[in-house]
Amino acid sequence: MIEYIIAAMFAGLLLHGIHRKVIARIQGRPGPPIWQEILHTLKFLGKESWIPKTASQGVYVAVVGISIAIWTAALMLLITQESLLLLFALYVLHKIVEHGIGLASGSPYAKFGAIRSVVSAASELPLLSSVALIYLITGSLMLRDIEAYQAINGPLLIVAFPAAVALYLVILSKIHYGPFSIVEAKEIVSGYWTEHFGVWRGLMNAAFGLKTFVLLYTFVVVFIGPIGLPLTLLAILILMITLSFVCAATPMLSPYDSVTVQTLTTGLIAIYIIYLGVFA
Amino acid sequence: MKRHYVQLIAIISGILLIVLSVAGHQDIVQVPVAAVLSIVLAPVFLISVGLLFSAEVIDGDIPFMGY
Repeated sequence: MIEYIIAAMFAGLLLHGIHRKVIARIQGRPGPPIWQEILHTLKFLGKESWIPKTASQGVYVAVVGISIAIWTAALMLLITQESLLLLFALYVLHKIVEHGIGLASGSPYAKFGAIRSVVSAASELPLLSSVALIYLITGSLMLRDIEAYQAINGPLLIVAFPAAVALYLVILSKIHYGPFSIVEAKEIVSGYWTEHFGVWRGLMNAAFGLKTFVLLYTFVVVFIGPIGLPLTLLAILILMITLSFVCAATPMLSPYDSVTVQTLTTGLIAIYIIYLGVFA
Repeated sequence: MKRHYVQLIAIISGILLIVLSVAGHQDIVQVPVAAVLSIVLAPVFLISVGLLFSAEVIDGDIPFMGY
């Protein structure tokens, strides 16, 4: 199991590096090498670390462990093909990490990040509509059942396209430098993780790499189906590049615009679900 | 926290994670059991390894909670 965790972390960090590279190329900059985020993480691990006096010590450290545990659990659910509902429950638990990181810190920038994280709870709304539509179509939320459904009926990407759009939006809201990345916007330095440095920052980076990999892997498993490891990795890469294009071409929205867009998307998909449930 | 405590935690959790992985693959332990134990042990292992990395710089005690 540990080999999957480490491999997924490195793959996620590599995807972060590719993300930065693609954004830079679109903006006419050379950008960092694609392995920069891996080097970044290793660099942070080697830095002198301590816990600031103004921070809440227990929470400051605990959120790092919780973050790793949440995304490790999500990866394990994917590997064992368990319930999609549990996977998304873990995703929502990630909010605790965002709040915890910001509120454990004594830095006002980190606290602002945590408050914005509360505001951006609307990013979970498209997730709800996505799960509902998947259940309505496949009749199950077990990953193995969803894969079996796709093996017979073809990818859910076609049948449940609005659900795919919703999950895409959810992933976009958790990607660095995205239009919905209000929790770590530059006007509040690095947002909720401004004061996490050294080993804590390195481990958070690794956990967030794992998060990116797990979310993209989930999208491929749920909407494209069983296509084998090489094609899955290719699909993840293509998905990441499309996200990078969106991030490069879209300015960061203000907190309330971000919430409005996410809520409107959920509303539209909810109407589609009602249409499917009542009329189709 | 003393360096040798962190070393001990890293070694024990690392060995347990490897044993769980092998046991899971060989069907000695059920995969869900190995997965749940790995979820608990992975943060412990990664945090202790991370603290050991940074300890090379500061040499001696590792600043942790209550330091």
